[in-house]
Amino acid sequence: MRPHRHSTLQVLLVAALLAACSAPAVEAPVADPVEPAAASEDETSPSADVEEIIVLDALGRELIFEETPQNIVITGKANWLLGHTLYLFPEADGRILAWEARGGNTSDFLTAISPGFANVIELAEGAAAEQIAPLHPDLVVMKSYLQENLGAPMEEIGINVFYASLETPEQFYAEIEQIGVLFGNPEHAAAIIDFYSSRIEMIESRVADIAAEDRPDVLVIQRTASGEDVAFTVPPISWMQTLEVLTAGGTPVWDEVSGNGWTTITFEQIAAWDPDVVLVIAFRGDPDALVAELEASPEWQALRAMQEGQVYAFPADFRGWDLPDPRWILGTTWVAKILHPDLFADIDMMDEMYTFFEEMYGLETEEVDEIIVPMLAGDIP
Amino acid sequence: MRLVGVFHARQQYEAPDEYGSITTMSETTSRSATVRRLALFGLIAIALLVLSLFIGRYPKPFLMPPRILFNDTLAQRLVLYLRLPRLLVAFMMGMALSTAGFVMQMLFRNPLVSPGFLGVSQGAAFGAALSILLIGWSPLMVQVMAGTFAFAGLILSFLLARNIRFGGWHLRLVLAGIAVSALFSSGVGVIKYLADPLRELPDIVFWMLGGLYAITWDEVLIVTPIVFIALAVMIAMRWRLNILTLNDESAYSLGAAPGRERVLILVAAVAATAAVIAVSGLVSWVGLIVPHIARRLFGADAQYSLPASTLIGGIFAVMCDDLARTILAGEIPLGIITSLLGALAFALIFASHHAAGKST
Repeated sequence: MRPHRHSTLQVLLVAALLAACSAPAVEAPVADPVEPAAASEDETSPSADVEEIIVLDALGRELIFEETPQNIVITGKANWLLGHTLYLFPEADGRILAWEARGGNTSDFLTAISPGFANVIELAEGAAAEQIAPLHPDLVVMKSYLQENLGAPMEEIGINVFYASLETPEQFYAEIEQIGVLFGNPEHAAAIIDFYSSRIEMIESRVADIAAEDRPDVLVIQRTASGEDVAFTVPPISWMQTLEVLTAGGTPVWDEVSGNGWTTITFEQIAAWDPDVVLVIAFRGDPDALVAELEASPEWQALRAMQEGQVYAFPADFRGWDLPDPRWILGTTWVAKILHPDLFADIDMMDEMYTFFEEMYGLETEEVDEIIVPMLAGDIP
Repeated sequence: MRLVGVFHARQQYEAPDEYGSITTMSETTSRSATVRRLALFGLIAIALLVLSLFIGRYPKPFLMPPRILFNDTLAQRLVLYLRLPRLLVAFMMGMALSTAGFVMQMLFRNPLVSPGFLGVSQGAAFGAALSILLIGWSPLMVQVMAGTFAFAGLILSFLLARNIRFGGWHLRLVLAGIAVSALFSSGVGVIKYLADPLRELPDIVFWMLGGLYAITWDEVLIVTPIVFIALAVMIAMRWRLNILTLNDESAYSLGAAPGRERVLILVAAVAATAAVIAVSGLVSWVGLIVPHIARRLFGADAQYSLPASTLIGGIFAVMCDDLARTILAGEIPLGIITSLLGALAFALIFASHHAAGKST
């Protein structure tokens, strides 16, 4: 029988494979979370003398650090939300090591307000444990729902992962407190929480006496790209957009819509609900242009809310004020003023905006004029 | 091929046999009953379309009292600008998919073939997704891209089938169709991966599930000419379909040019499919199950069962769309409703012990 050339080749291939598999694997060095290290002499941090930093993340997991993480990677979906929240703390500046560039970009907001952000390493979209581990991060921050698919493999190889939710005011307060501990600046965390909670308490106290039947019926919609002026989406009841309406003394009309994400509805359903007020979100679009298009639509012209001038473009700058981004406090205040202009006549939204960016992100008035105001859109009274 | 030959094929097919006038009389009686049944389905379709104008969520879920049309401007505009165009597209979509499915099942002599075969549906979905990713939402561009890639799917399937070296022509085409569908399906997956998750991806995902919530008169004007021309071709050639299901030698002997005629009918089927998929997304089961229902009710003869399939497809699609836009406050993707009802009907038909007509 003639020797088969292919069998020789196959044997050689198998031998090469076995040789490769037997080679000792090069372990990627990963930061040991409990590695004893000299405490950093950071005199600007008021808590520099704390030897152990213990934080609880959104999943109730306890993380222990010997010192404030210096190299932080922000990855996964909605990483802009996490980054904008971390940057409420001055300690975050210069400590963001890498950022997953989802949709081809990082964060134009942080790029604008933080010169050091330009040095952040851009990770390709979909970066996972294998791409992040070589960076030797002290901490990776991601959304809590990514724990199973994205976070667990990182935890397996010893990378610290802090899971955050930040989807409701309560979660925001709890996680801001923990982030304050993480950065060794719990006092600033308390100041942030006080900024938000004082405003929420002010709003809630003013609308508390409004009976349920007297609260305006409110609809928050986002336009789909393909739906033009006949199909829109509404947020789930548990999301920040709905909570903003409830806090501001409105009644969300879409509470009968079930779903875990944005749910499509048609204009016919909007007409059936007959809302008193319609708030229109244009994600990454121009909300003013969107409302103008609706005003020109024959269907919308027959809608009572449009006839009464109660269709408003939800404000946005780099990010919408409806989102669970730290701007949600601006969104809630804005909704309250739109729904109850008489109760909030003393509130100037532009002043609120300036105050927010000055106190939360340390921007001077001139910087807000230069960076934020040009990006501003929406119906701001 | 002369167009007159299309119509003369009917005379050839119905050449009298040795039993002469007796058979002619019984066939005439049967034909009349079949025509009456077809007319009945036509009336059902018209009645359903009219009734569906008053089905929706405004002012309250389900039935809208017709009298409010006289004094409610909003109701008038809803019916005229939203419901009517949507119903027309739903009806055309059902007609197109069911007719295309019927001709494909006959031409390929395979009862499991649907308009999604030969990479047509997946190609159209890929073209639409690519258009959304590169250009953004433009009804006309989406139609053009969907149609282009639907035909590309058909051409690729043919070219690939010609290069497969084993099996008969139909088997080769089946295998090629599976491969091309998988190719475009993976392409859609890549586009979904690259798409903006909050702007483009939802629109692309819509194509996967199907829906008519974005239909306006713009889409009606784009879809109608293509669908009606394609349907006219397929319906006019329905007698030829019976011949084209035979082997090539028999078809030649009966005066058909099987190669060219199959291509013509397939082009019409693909054009109709691509036109509706571009505005409705991937709506499954209509093109697969409705032809079977039509054959159960009207027999295997294409001259009756094809127009029956057309009408039943339109009725089925309108019913499903009525459910999709009425049951819940949020839209239910149309493909989910058609899959649910189509699968149930599929199971019932093939579990049924009593055939209503002649076997296929």
